[in-house]
Amino acid sequence: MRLFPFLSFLFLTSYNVGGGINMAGLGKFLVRRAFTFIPTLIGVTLIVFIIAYVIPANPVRAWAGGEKATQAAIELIKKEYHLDQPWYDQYWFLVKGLFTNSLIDPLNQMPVFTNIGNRFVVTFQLALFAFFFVVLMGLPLGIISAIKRNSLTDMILRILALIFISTPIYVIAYLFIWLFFIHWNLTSLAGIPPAPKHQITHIPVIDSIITLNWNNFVEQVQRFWLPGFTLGIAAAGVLMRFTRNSFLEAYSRDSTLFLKAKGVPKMGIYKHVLKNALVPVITILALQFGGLLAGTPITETIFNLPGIGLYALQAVMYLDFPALIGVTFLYAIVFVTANLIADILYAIVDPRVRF
Amino acid sequence: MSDLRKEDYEEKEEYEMSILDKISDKLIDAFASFITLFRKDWKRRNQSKVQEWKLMAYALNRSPPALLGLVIVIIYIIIGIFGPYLAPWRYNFFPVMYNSTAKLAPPGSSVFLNVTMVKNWHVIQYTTTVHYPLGSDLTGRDLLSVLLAGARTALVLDVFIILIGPTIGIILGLISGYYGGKIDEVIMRITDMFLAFPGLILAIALSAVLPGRIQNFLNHHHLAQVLVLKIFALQARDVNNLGKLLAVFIALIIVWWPGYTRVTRGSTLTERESLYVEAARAVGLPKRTILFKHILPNIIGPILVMITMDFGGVILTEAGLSFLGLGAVPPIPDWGNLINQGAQYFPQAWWLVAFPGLVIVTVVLGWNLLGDGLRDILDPRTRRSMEFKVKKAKGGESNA
Repeated sequence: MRLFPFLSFLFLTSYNVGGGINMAGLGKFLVRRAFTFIPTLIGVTLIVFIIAYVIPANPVRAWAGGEKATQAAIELIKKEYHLDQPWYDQYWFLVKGLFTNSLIDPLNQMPVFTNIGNRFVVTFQLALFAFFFVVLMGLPLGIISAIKRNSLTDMILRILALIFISTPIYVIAYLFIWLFFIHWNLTSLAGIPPAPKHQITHIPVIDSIITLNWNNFVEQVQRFWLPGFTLGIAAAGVLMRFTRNSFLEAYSRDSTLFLKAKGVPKMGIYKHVLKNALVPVITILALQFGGLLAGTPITETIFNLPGIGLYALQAVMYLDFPALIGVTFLYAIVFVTANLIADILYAIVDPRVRF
Repeated sequence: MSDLRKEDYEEKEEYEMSILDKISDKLIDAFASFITLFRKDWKRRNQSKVQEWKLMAYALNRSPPALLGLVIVIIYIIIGIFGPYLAPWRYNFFPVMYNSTAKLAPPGSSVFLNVTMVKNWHVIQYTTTVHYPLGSDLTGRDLLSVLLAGARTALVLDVFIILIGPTIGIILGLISGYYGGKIDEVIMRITDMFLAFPGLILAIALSAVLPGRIQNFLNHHHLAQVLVLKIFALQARDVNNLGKLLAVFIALIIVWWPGYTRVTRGSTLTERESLYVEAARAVGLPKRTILFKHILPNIIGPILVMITMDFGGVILTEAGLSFLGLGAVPPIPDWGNLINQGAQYFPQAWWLVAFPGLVIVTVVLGWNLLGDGLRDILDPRTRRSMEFKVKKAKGGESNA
């Protein structure tokens, strides 16, 4: 702690909470936000419907079993999915299906959102690991880069951040697989470790920590750390740059000049600056978590993790459009919710924001 | 008082004009003279603009990362234009048809071919040796040739997507911000709908459903077919693969415009109230002129940085989609697709992942470095400080 006193601050994120927030105001803000949420949601279903409506070739034949499908079976499926109805009826069927989970995946005859629910755990855990690495790399490196601004260290770190952003997952993943799996054998890449016996949050890695199931925890980490690290690299680069700018912006305020004039030692000044600099960083973290959840398809393909990204890609491959629509809709909801949480966090953390 | 002056002097480092400065000056002067050929007296009337450009060039010359980015970007554009003609082998010549050892040949190896082919009703036989400086892919194509030809695919998609997507976004943002009211409400609600989707997911969904329609369109419009083939430098027999390629193109345009609408609207809103817009309105200028000649140049700085960075972003996303098997299909040369092929044979065929990966990283890094540098260069404060720092080679007078 003595080495990096400014880092101790990272663990106290709730510094401003309660400092004069108006709970009634927050409630009103939430209600107002919810009202703008609804048209967006309707728009999302519209776009999803257009995507489904654009389908050129009739996928029904493929669902019914390819060339050998009987006409009767095709007609039955068409009827089941309302494909023989006018567009408004199809739209209504789709919206009803999305909200009541009655949209059936033609490949395994299960409701689409039941399928997604089974797979979402994997994606969420992957995003959680990625988020861990993003915070672990992005924040400290960004702060170091800002403190040593315009030096060689800063230049190297800035270029490193740009390289992180510029390197696509599908390139760096294979580099890491070669290094950590083939060369040093530090990870496992097959299957999915089973969830621990006692399920509380239904996220395996959190459950294994809560129930102190050490063996399972190690298994989960061994399987997930490399995909998470790979997924998090680009976001870490973004966070590094953001943290640096935010820190420098806070540093150039008049309050810093006052602290200097008062004779506060450097570390003390940095501590004060950090408090101000982390306000926007916290909100960007919420956005980044949404981005990580959405950015999983490529990572899941490469590391063969059965999450919703892989589900979406399989849906594309098998022309399984109910599944594709369901996944797209879910992603949009997750993304919009992440934005909402970011807004609320910003309102809570920054006392100057009026609801 | 004396302390303050001392600080002033400390900040005021002076640079000699370097060779780069002279080159950039000459280039900008030549460009100004070139415009003067078409527009009478342009150079004299726009003296101050030319001067600003020169100062921007000085700022660029003093930032090595941005220069590096510029060099990479220029090389990328040149290879993108001439790559298909520089390639030693055609992208649709498959040596594996004549010699099975050509499949996944390692870098530095060469393969002897005994080619038998039918051309114009004649059977042609000849022998040849293919050298693989960077190895070969599944069908025995020379990786270097495919990379060079793939630069065209990447560049065309990149440039056209960025030309169309952000332009739509900027125009909608200007209209939305300037007019306000109901128009603003409608445009922003639509933008919000599109922003609700994560870009990659929307692109995946669209490029999955669009190809059939586009292929259908192309099959009925011969001229469009020929045009697309020429632009991508593809052979006529690839005509049935164009649907998937153009699906990515349209998908990425749809994904790319909403961000620009939001940014442009925000800055238009603040700019709308400023005095010069008021003055332009009072003079009675048409709204089109106010929007594009008065407001746009004042808000274009951050947007230009965004565009530069997005040139890299488009390459990443496009290659990502073709890595997932959604964009260009195999005979069409494409960087992401090569990685997709190599992934199935990793780590034996490491070169199929490593070299296209290196190319993608380099190009994207180039755009990002340039964009990062532009952020400083386009900042008027940098230019003002440059104005006094750069000394003319001859005397102590700073240029103004």
